[in-house]
Amino acid sequence: MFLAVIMLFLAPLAPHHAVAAKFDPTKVSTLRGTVTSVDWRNPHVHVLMNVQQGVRTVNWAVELESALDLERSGWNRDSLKPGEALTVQGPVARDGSMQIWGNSVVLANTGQKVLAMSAEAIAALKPVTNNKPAAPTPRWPGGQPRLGPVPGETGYWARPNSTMLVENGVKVEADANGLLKNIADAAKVAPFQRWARDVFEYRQRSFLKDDPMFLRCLPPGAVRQFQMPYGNQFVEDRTFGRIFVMAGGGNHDWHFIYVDGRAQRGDLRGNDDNPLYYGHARGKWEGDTLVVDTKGLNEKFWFSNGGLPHTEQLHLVERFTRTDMNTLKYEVTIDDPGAYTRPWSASWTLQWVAGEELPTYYCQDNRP
Amino acid sequence: MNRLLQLFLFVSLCLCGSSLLAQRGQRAAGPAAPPPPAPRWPDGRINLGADPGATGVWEVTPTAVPLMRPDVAADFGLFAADTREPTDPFLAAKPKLSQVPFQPWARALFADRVQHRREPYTRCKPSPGARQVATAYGTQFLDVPELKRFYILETGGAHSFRTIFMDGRAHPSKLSPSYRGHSVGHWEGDTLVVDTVGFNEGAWIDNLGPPTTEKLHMIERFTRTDFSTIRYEITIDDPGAYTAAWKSGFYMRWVPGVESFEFICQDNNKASDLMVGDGTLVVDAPPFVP
Repeated sequence: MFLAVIMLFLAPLAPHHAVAAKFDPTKVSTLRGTVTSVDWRNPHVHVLMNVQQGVRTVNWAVELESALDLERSGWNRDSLKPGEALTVQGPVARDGSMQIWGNSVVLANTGQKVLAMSAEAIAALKPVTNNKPAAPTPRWPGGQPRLGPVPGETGYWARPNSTMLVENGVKVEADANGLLKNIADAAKVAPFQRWARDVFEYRQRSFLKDDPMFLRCLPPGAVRQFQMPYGNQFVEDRTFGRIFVMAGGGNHDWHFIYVDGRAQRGDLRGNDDNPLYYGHARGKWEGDTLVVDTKGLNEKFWFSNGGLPHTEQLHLVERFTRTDMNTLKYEVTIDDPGAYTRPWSASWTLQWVAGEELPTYYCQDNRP
Repeated sequence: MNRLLQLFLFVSLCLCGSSLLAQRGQRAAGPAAPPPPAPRWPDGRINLGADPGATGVWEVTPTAVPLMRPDVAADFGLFAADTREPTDPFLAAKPKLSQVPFQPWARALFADRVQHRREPYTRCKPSPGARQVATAYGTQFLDVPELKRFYILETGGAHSFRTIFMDGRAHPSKLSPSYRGHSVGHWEGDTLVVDTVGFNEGAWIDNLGPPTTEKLHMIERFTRTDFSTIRYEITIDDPGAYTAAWKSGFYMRWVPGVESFEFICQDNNKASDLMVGDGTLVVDAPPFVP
């Protein structure tokens, strides 16, 4: 039973950070207390509660999944009220602060489990297996594949079937945050230079605690944006030769892929002195595939879940192919002579979430 | 360096960048020649962006952003206040502070906000309404009639976007309160009218922060009166904070030849301790990194 509980938080769905980055799975505690307030905001909902510890009353923060995921599970900010008595079980913070991950939150008087993710909400983040043949790739009048919805419909891309960069052909197991099941696999993930492998292994061994996306709400940036649970939307602005890429999660931000034939060089404020998170993305169509060449990336973000390092020499070639209505094949070639011994490739697919709007999630919401 | 001073410098930098671009735009338009008429799409609809093949963004002079005018300069605390009486009737119609129908608590909170100047924008929060379209480094509109959508994108601030549904849908009956709410729009002649509800209370609708509640119903009207100008009008209908609905507005100026760029507030922010809370500042910060 104890092992099963640990497995549950080693395979978290937390879109913001690996639970183990902040909480120690070997220190599971049970707290009984009274709700003082509920902070219903992304990236994580917090229930604050007073716990009697000896003669002292201590205010604990119970951390839960995102407001978005809890709302998808049918909960809202009024699901718990100040004054209600709770029993909370979960791992406590590694830094000794009064924080606990709410693996289970139970109302003391009724025994009802509250603020847990529903099976539907969990399933919404994962690829859907569907044996029915999908409709064909939607196309513009000229025949070019559409990356967005057809008129009158809506949808966005999410549910990646891999959430970590792993070289094509390599088999390793990792969780949704890119934490390897077996740390001995670290060197297999990519053709790392020695220093890069050591950095990667350090980040893995420290449960991804230094992730800039977790610590400072920095953007997921290039490549990692397509591993995110709340997806992306493409709007092809063909009049101006650009594709508007909108992020559901992260900072709910946007950038353009220019498909107007402009040269691969710095933009205003995106020059050699100011490398970027999403880089200079230049796209062109090769048959049914959008090929995007990206340079000008900074080193301040992790370009994959799991913490693979890169340098400012990173040069990406990404290939997007909508193979049918519901499938976007994503292939990326990574050429970074600063961190890897040779260029290498990875690929995964994204699924079309039909009939739904891109989620609105701001990582910076739960900040002062 | 003193943290508040850092924050002040950060805000000043944002505003200076904005005003430099605005000045450049005014020079480009020329002081004498009247600007050409507003461009239109082949179907006759007003184009709120650049001509195809060209570039540009919309800017708002920082002192024009507040939705009220000061009665006296001290009304705006440290913020630069322009007390001159405008000759333009549209600008003269902007209410003075004393004319805004605040409820008493909202007036008191506004005074506190002017005094302490902790605009959520400076901590990377997405701003709604007037503040979104008056962000540093400009605003762009993306009109996608094929999908019956309209997008407003800001370069500075949170570098985020707002979707306006143009397909005639109603607001959902249940909305989780958010920074930007739920926007639906339609054209009334040459004016884009945007109706928004579903706001949270954490967002400021301009850079001084007239308080708003979850009851806020906002109507914005965008009229491109000539090539270089959008008349932006806003109605604030919030029975939670005001005793009556009130109106305000400003001009947005076209800055030609400028493209948006990647702006990451979290990266450039000189007030990162306010972002994560180091426990030493008197802010309503949780004592932990969420």
